[in-house]
Amino acid sequence: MSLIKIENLTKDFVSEEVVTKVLHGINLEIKEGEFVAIMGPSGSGKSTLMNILGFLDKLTQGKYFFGDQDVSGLEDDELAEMRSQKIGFIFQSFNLLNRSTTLENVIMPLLYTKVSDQERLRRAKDLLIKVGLEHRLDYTPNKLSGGEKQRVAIARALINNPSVIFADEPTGNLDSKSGLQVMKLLQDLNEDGNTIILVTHEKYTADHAKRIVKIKDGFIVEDHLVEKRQWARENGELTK
Amino acid sequence: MLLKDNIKLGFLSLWRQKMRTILTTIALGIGIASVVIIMSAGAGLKHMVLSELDIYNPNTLNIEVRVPGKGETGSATSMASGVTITTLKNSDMEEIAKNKNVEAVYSYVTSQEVIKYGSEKKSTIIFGYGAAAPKVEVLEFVSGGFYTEEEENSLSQVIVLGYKIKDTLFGDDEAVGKNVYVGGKSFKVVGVLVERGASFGFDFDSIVYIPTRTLQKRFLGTDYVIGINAKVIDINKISSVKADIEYLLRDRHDITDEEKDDFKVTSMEEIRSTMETVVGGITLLLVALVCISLIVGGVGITNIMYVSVAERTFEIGLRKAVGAKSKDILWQFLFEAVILTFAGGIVGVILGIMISYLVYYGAVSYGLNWTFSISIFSIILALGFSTIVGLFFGIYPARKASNLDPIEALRKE
Ligand SMILES: Nc1ncnc2c1ncn2[C@@H]1O[C@H](COP(=O)(O)OP(=O)(O)OP(=O)(O)O)[C@@H](O)[C@H]1O
Ligand SMILES: [Mg+2]
Repeated sequence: MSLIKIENLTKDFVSEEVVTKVLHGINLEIKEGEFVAIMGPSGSGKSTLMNILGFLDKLTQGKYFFGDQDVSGLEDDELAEMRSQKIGFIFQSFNLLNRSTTLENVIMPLLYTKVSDQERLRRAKDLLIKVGLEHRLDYTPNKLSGGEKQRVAIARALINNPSVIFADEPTGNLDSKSGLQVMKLLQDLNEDGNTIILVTHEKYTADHAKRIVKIKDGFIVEDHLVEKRQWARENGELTK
Repeated sequence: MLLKDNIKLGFLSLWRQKMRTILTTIALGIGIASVVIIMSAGAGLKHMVLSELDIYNPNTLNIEVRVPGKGETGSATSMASGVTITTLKNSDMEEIAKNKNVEAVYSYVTSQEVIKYGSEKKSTIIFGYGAAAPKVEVLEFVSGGFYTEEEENSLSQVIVLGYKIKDTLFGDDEAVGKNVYVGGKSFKVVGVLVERGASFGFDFDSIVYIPTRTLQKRFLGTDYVIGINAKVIDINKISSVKADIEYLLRDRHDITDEEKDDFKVTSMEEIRSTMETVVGGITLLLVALVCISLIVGGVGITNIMYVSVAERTFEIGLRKAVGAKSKDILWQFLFEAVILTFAGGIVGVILGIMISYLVYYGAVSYGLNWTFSISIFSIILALGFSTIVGLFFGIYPARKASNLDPIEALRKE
């Protein structure tokens, strides 16, 4: 059974009588355990699609099924609940709280769940070991490098054991070495069975995924498996 | 979101914006402290004012002359400018004494004379006090006692000295039994009063008392008095006795219209409750004023919280993106506002108690009969009010924060 299924999905932005049509009838199905790269030129609607799939935004028309649940018409609080329970986000600009420590940043999503204090701490520490930052627990983001920040963000995205991880240009602000580390983490996570949806406009980044979906002007123009998959190596660099 | 997480988050956020927190807490604390101080000072003032009335028995009726046809203040001003009312007599007092409910009664009149002992002289106020005075009001003696009815009726030249006068004339020497000269006439000292203190600016320790009739006959050459004090046997009957006296005096003074009364009868109970009302009213007024200033301060809190929401738009967006619901954000900001104002409340209460104590200390060393009291009510009021200010003025910014769209908000880094 598919994890994500959308049918004829459209998205219009309406503001001050100006209607911007961004997505024009998208059909897409993603199964559990997939690693999908969404590609396309700037302004094509990648982030818009990801925001809808990630329950940050509402669709205008069409159907969205998550697992066996029809989630097309969820209200704000229900969307928040879905984000809290099912989704992990990784952003291009890390989006960490600057006044909070690494540990607090990672735990933050669990403040909105019923997970106990000990469990919160245990999960956060485990994840920070996994991303190699167990020695940076008390650092605030301004003392971390870009790559370290993104690894904190990855730990944060994983803290609620999400069904899907969305990563919007996660390597966009990183040097090639840190970028590769992030891709390696994502590949490892996928190998462990996590479903990952990666937004990028770089071919060599997208080639780390298993499947590429190309969007142009709000339509899906290509959808195929990666022919020559790249494997991120330890200590390597993310190069063309 | 759990209550404990909200509280933790609130404290953490305030801790991370120390300067803002400290300044707001101080500003609010001062306002709250004012409430506590005013209420404490009000209690102290009330105690002071009422304790000045303690030298009078509550079941005392006071009859004083007044200028007919004028209001309360009109009468007082007329008398101050030299109008003398000569209609109240000792015979009136004698009639009042016949009332079955009156236990004791005396009349009084005043004059100013030079009092002299050996080489010491002093110009002083002389009270002509009826011999029954100790039965009506509280008079306590260091030595000797008050003069008797017989001494008054025989126009004896006897005198009771106030504490300070005795001190001026005799120092530490015994005064009772000695003779002093009052306006050139020799008077025998029969008693020295204990220190009575001042009451409404009038220093009871610097006056002397001689029998009313002696003062009238030997110095003034008149037969009127300026007032009469009567003690009622049963305090429950005080208003009926008051009415009796009014009726009696109107009859004796041929007055048919109350407006034309040339006297006024007041009970100590009335004076006491008037004082209480006045002091209570002043306190309430001041508290109300401070509360208004706190509300103005509350608008400041709103402003601070709005700025805080604007500064933290990104944080709000992020929290929502990872699963915070609108109400989680609402509570987060509301808690922050309430913790902030509650902290201000606690600082204010502590500051208020400390300053109230200083006020008490100052008042006492200044010789005032002050008390130090902090009512639980004032603390509850201060803390309750500050919390309400936080809730009320925090709710709009918190609403604004909770309604932010996560995607929009995340763009604001
Ligand atoms: N809130 C909005 N109101 C109006 N138009 C919007 C809004 N959000 C996005 N758009 C428009 O929708 C289009 C797609 O935006 P989107 O952010 O999805 O692009 P993208 O593919 O992620 O581009 P990039 O690679 O530059 O991140 C753009 O033309 C953008 O201007
Ligand atoms: Mg984008």
